[in-house]
Amino acid sequence: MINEMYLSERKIKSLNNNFGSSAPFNYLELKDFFDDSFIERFIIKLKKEGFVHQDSDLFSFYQSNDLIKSKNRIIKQFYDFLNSKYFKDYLFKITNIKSYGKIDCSGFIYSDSDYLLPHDDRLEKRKIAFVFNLSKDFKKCDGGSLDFFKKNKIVKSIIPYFNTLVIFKVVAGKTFHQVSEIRCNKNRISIAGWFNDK
Amino acid sequence: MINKYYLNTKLKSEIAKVLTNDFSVQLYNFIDEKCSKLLKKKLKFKKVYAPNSFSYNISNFDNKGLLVELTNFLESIINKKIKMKSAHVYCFSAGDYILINNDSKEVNGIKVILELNNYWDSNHGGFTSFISNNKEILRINPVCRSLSIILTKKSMSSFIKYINHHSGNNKRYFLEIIYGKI
Repeated sequence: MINEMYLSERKIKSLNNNFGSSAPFNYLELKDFFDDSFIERFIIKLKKEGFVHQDSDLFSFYQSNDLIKSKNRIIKQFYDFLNSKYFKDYLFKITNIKSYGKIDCSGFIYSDSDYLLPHDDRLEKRKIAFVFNLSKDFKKCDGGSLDFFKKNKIVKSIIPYFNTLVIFKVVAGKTFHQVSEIRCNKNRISIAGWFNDK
Repeated sequence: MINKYYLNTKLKSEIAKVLTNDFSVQLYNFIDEKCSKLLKKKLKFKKVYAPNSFSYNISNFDNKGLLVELTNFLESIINKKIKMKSAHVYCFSAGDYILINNDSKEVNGIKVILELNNYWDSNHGGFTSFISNNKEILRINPVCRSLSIILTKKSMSSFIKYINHHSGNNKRYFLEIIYGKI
């Protein structure tokens, strides 16, 4: 399911170096990460999952149930892959972080004026946060970027490019991030969640 | 400055009843447009920003005439002397917010919110929400030139909803006065 270019020993070593040296905290942006044809089929099925509008002081977006509950074969296949020992071993190789507990994983749709304000994901079991972007044609001016903070400033903005997996280490009180407000009529669709400790 | 309609003794006793029963009351057209413009003059705003907590502009408010008038009005409603703790004007524009955190806890007392806007669209966000036991118990929509009186408790928190890009150049201005124990 993973694009072969990410599987060579050389690439894994380079990703490991990049993860360790990235700033403002450890992260990787992995473009064209999964097999394109599978992702196209996955999106069609994902859109059929029930999305519910979630609204609080911190956020406004549409969220699906945890994908573990999905009855769709393709979605189950994707969930099982992310939750597999094979993939968690791969994550360990590129991050040096053990995250062998059950994953949390839901679908998200951010539409016009939706957002997720700055927070650090603090919960003891969360080790690696991930966002897998499924939207096409997003530009910087559309909003929806995943922004990383250092102190009170955004120092890294990741535009949600199609078939891009972003992972970052979760450190309470340090890894502050947000999803900037959507400023267009496009939908930002993603799968996001956490790889947890056991 | 207060709309004379609200100075009627009978009406004041009705307002007191609503306040006792609902712990809050919102009085529409409490001031006129001219007054709302006047009150925003000569304010010196300062930006305060902590990404994981808040983003807004704030100014001290020292128009003693209005503060005395409002305090007298409130005292005549609740039939008690009250002591003002603080008075500030807030300005929220696109991208501003206050999240629930330790600093957003209320005190035992009264919070007064006087909206200084002459235009606001509720689709822009920016409302004030009061939370208790993880549930919203009151939402103050920024109705232009309205006065909201809220009986607050330590167990309550509040937040201000993120103001979205549809607000354009519109800003929510409001005077917030906090009174201590009743």
